[in-house]
This record gives sequence, C-alpha cells and structure tokens, in this order.
Amino acid sequence: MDFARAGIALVSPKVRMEPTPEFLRDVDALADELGEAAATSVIEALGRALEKLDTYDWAGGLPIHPHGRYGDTYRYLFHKDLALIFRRATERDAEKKPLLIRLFLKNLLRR
Amino acid sequence: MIRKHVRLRSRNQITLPNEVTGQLNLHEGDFLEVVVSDEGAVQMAPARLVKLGTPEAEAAEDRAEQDIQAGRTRGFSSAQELTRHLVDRIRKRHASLKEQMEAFEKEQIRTTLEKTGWKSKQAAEFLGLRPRDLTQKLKRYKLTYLKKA
Repeated sequence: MDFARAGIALVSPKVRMEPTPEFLRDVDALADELGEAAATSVIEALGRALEKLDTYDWAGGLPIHPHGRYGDTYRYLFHKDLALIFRRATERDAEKKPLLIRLFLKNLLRR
Repeated sequence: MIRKHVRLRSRNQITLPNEVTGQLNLHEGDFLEVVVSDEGAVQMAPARLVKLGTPEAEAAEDRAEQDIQAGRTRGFSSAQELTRHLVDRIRKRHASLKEQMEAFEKEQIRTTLEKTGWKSKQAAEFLGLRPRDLTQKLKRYKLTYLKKA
C-alpha cells in the first residue's frame, strides 16, 4: 500500500507543549489555593491528560470541545473541577505534511 | 467601582477596607497578585483560578493569546517533561512562601518582645499565642534576649 498516496503519515509529527506565562500564573494560583500536596496531585492528573495529546490523532473519545473566540482553541475537561484551555497549531512541510504540533497551554480554569 | 485610600504602615503593611474585601470575596489567608507597571500603576487582583465562561476567563484567554503572539512561551518536548517542571515550580513556590511567612512571624515576635521588655507572657497574650507555643517559636527562631551592656 502506498501510504503517502493514501495521505497517511508514516512518521508521526512531534508534539510540543508550550505553556504561556498566563497558564503558569494559573498553576501558581492553583498552588496557593490548594496547597502543595493537592496542587501537585492535580498537576499530575493534568500531566496524564496531556500524555493523551502527545500523539497527532487525539480527537476521539477525549472530553475535548472547541472553545471560545479564537480559532483552533479547545477546552479539555480533564478534571471534575478544572478545565484546560489550549490552542493547537500545526507546522507543515512543503507537501502539507504535519511536521510539528504545538500545543499552547493558555489557561487553567475552574469549571 | 470602588476607589479607596489606604495607608502604608510599619513593615509595609496595609489594611484593605471591608468594602474591597467584600466585593472581591477575600478571606484571611487568600493571596493577592500585585502587578506594578513601568509607569508606576499598581494593580492588585486575587490570585485564584477564574471560572469558565465568565468575563474574567475571557480576559485571561486574551492575555494568553497575547503571550502566544509575542512568543512568550517555553517549549517542552513531552507531557512528562512539562509535568516535572510544573511540580518543581509548585514545590519551589511553597518553599519560598514558607520562608517568607516564617521571616515575617519572627520579626513580629521580635518586635512584640521588644515592646513588652521581653516579658514573654505579656508578649504571648499580645500575639494571641499560648506561652508554651511562644517558647517553642523562640527556640525555633533562635530569639534570645541580649542584655545591653
């Protein structure tokens, strides 16, 4: 089978997580609100949720919904009390094949 | 909008008027983020997570978009690497806060003891502590009365 002709990438593009300073401020606020142990537990849960985005095809089955006024932005309901807002940007080569997926972590919000 | 004047007292303390704490639903132990602009304007806001679907959440997303447009992001090659960084950030923040709070408490105790002529029972009452708790804190902070020569 000719995978390239079928539009299937043989090598998955790299995924890079890029927290914004705004997101980091939310993490600080979370730490101040919950204390060190509880905040660490939430961040570890966030880490496990983000691992599921470590691949190119993550859309199916995850509690992720389009969000807000900006394009390519999603709301990830990774925790019963919290939501992650992130934007996905795909860098492609000349043949439009995805090379790098950048996940910009924008905000951590209370649900 | 509320506009109030507050006075800076000794050791850089201020008291927020009840109208302000009521409006912001602030309670003892809450944290505030203070931002000072290059022009000298001071902005103070509760340092806590905002709720999804509120105007505050939209404003926070606008600021995050500005961060992205300005390239103010740092890349992590995996979720694990990012998680390690965030957990370390939380640990350092709490260590720093604990140090600051202990330094503040030590200074409060020292000042009170000086005011009361190092009468620990009176100082404990003034500080709202049990005498034995004050004794323990004096040991922990290595606070001892040095007679003037």
